[in-house]
Amino acid sequence: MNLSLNQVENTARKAVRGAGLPWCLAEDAGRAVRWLEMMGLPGTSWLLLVLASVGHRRTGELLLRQQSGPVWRAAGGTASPLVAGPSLVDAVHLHRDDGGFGLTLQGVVCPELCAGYLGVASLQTGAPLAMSWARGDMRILGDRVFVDDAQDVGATAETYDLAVRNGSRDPGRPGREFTGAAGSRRVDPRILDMLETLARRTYVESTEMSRLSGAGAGLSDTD
Amino acid sequence: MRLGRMGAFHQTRLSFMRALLRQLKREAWTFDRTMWRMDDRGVGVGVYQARGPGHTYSLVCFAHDLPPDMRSDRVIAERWDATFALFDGVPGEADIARMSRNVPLQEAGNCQETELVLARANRSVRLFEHVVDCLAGGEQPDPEFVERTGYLMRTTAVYGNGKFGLGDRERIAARPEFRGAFRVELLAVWLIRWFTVDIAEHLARQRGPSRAVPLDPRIRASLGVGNATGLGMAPFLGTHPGLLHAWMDARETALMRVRNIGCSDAVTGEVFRATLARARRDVARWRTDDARQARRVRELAGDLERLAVHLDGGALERPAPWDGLVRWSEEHLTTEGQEMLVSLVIEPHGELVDDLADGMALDELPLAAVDGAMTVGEALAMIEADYGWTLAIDFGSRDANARFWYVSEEKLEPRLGERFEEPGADREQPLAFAREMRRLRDDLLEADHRLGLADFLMARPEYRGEIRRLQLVSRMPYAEIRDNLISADMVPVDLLRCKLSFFGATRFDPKSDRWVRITMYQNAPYPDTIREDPADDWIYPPL
Repeated sequence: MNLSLNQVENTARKAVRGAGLPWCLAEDAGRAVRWLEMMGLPGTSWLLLVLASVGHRRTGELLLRQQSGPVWRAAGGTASPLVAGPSLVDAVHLHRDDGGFGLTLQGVVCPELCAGYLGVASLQTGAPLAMSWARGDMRILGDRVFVDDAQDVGATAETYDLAVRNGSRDPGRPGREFTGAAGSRRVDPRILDMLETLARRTYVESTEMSRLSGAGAGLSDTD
Repeated sequence: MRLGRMGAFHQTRLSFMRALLRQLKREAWTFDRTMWRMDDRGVGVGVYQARGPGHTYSLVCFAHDLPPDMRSDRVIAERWDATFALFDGVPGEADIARMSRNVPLQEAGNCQETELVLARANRSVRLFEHVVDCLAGGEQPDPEFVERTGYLMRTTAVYGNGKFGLGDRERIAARPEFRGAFRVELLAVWLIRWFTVDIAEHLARQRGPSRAVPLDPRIRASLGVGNATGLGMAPFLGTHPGLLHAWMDARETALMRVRNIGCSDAVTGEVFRATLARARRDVARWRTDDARQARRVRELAGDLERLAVHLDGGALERPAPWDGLVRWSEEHLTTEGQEMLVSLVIEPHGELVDDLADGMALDELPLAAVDGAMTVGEALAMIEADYGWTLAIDFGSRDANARFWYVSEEKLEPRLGERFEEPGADREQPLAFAREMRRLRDDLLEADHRLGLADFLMARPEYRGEIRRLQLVSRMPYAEIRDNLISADMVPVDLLRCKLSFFGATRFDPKSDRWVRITMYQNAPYPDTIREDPADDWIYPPL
C-alpha cells in the first residue's frame, strides 16, 4: 500500500498514542518514523516492533535514569526508543557545540528506531551523528544515512546497548547509503493494518449530538 | 491574541488568494481549458491547465449527475455534483482514466503523489438552476439573485499536503509559486470557479441549443466559489503555532509599517476613501441569518459610516494619519470594525507590505526542538510572562472543562464533544493548551528550580509538548490563542473565521457556532481574464 509521508507520520503518531503513550511522544515518534521512511528505511516496521515488545509496559518502567557519566538506563531495565528518542534529541541539541559528545543508552529495544530521532535532530542542527550497537552502525547526515554493510535492516526485538556520538561529514568506511526523497512510500499492508488498529483507539464514535452540529448539518443543502 | 478578536478578522491584501493572483499575473501565467468531454446531462470530464515559468498544473474536473436527495455539504457525504484533482503536470489519457475511477470517490479512492489537491463541490441549486434556465432561454440571470448567493457551486472539502495519498508538501514547497501558505489549494479553488461557470453554460446549451447565450461578463465576474467549512479545520491554528505566528506577524508587521507613515499623500488618501466606499457597499450586501453575525454586520455598517464622517473631519490630513485612525478606532468602533479598519488601512499600501506575503509559510521541523538547558525556574518565569492569563481560569469548574476535542471514527474529522454529556473524553485530542500549561506550572513549582528541562523531561516526558510550546511562544508571541479552547463559552466558528480570513474568504455566514459558509474569489478575475484584468482590485466590489 502506498502512503504519502504525511500519512506515514499521522498513522505512526496515532498508533503510538493508541498504544497509550502521551500525545507529545506520539508526535515525536511520527516525525521520527517519517524521517526513516523518507530515507527509504522501514520506520513503520520498526515502530510496530517496538510497540509489540514494550508498548504494553507502563511509562514509569521506561523512564530513563542517568547512570554514572553519560550512560542512560530505563527504570525497568528495558528502554524504548519512543521514550528515550526525544531525550536523545535533547542531548544532541544540548551538546551541539561539544565536539566530544557521546552517550550510551543501555538495553534499548530496536535501536534502529532511534535513528529516526537522530535524523530529525541532525536535520534541526545540521550536525552529523553516528550510532552503533552490537549488530549495526548507522551514520546520519540529515538528509542521508549510511548503514553498515553487514547490517540487516530487519530489526529484532532483542535489546542492545546503543552508543550515540557526534558523526563526521565524511561517512568513513563504505556502507549502504539511503537518501531522502519526497514521494509516497510502500508500506506492508499487514503492518499498516496493525498500526491502524492501534490508531483507531484514538477515535471516538460520533454521537447524534455531534452529527447534528457538523458542517452542512441542519440545512436542506439545496439553497 | 484573544479568540474573540481573531473571530472578527477580515481578509487583507496579504491573504493567500490575493497574493496568489498577484503572483500569477506578475509571472504571466497562462490558462486554457484543454479538455471538455461532457454529455447532454453535464456528466463527463474537463481539464484546465495553468502554465507558469517552471511548472504546469492541471485541474481535472469530474462532473456528475447527482440525485437531489444525495446532495449534502456534510463531510460524511459520499457523492457530489463535481469532484476535482489538481494534477502536477499534464495528465495523459491513462492518468485521466485512473483518476476517473478514484477522484469521484474522494477519500474512498486512491490518490497518487502526482495529485496535489483533492476537492469536491455541490451546486447552489436555486441559483444554479436559475442561471442555467435563463441562459438556455437566451436571457441573463437576475443580477440581484446572483448577488444574493454569490456562487454557483460551493466546495465542501479541499484537501492537500499528502492527505489520502496526495503529494506531500515537500514535493512542491521549494517551487516559487507555492512559497506562501495554502497556495496550491487556492490555485485549485480558483480553477474550480472557472469550471462552475463552464458547466452551467454547457447545461444551458444542452437545454436550449438554439437560443442559449453565455453569461454576461459582469455577472460572471460577480460570481465566486462558495465553501462550507466545519470543525475539520478548527484545530489547525492550535496545532500549528509557528504558522499562526508567521501569519499574524506578517499582518501586524504590515500594520506597523503603515502606522509608521508620517503623512499621507493625496493619492493614497483618495484610494483609501474609494476603498472605504466600496467596502461599505460590500458590507451592505453581506447577508447572514446568524443572529450574532447579523448584529455584528449591522454594527460594522455603523462603524464604517462613523469612519467616513471621521475622514471628512480631516483625519488623513493630520501627522501619522494611519496610526491616528487605528487609535481612534480603538475608542469608537466595535471589534469587527477595528479589524476591518486594519484591512482598510493596509489596502492602499501594497508597495510597502506585499513582500510580507511570501513569509507566511515556514518549515516547522526546527520549531520542534526543545532547549533542554533552560532551567525549571526559567520555564516558570516564562509561564508567568506568557501564560499568566491561564491563572484566571478555574479549571475546577465544569464550565472551564465543558468541552473536549476528538477525532470522529466515522470520517476521521475533528469534532468537539461535551465532556459531561458525551462519551469519549478519555480520547481527547491535545488542544487543551491552557489547562495543560496550568498543570505543567503546578508540577514545575514542585521541582528543583535549578534543574535543566532536559532532565525534567526525562522524569516527566508527558510535558514535552507544553515545554516545546512554551519555548516557542516565548519567541513567537502570536503563536498562542490566549483563550481556553475547552471552555463552555468558546465559539469554535471564531477559529474558522480567523483561518479563512487569512485565506482571503469573504461573506462569513455562520450556520451554527460550529460551521460557516463563505465566498471565495468573488469579483476576482478568471484565469481567462487575468491577462487583461487587474490581479488585485476585486476584493471590495466595484460601486
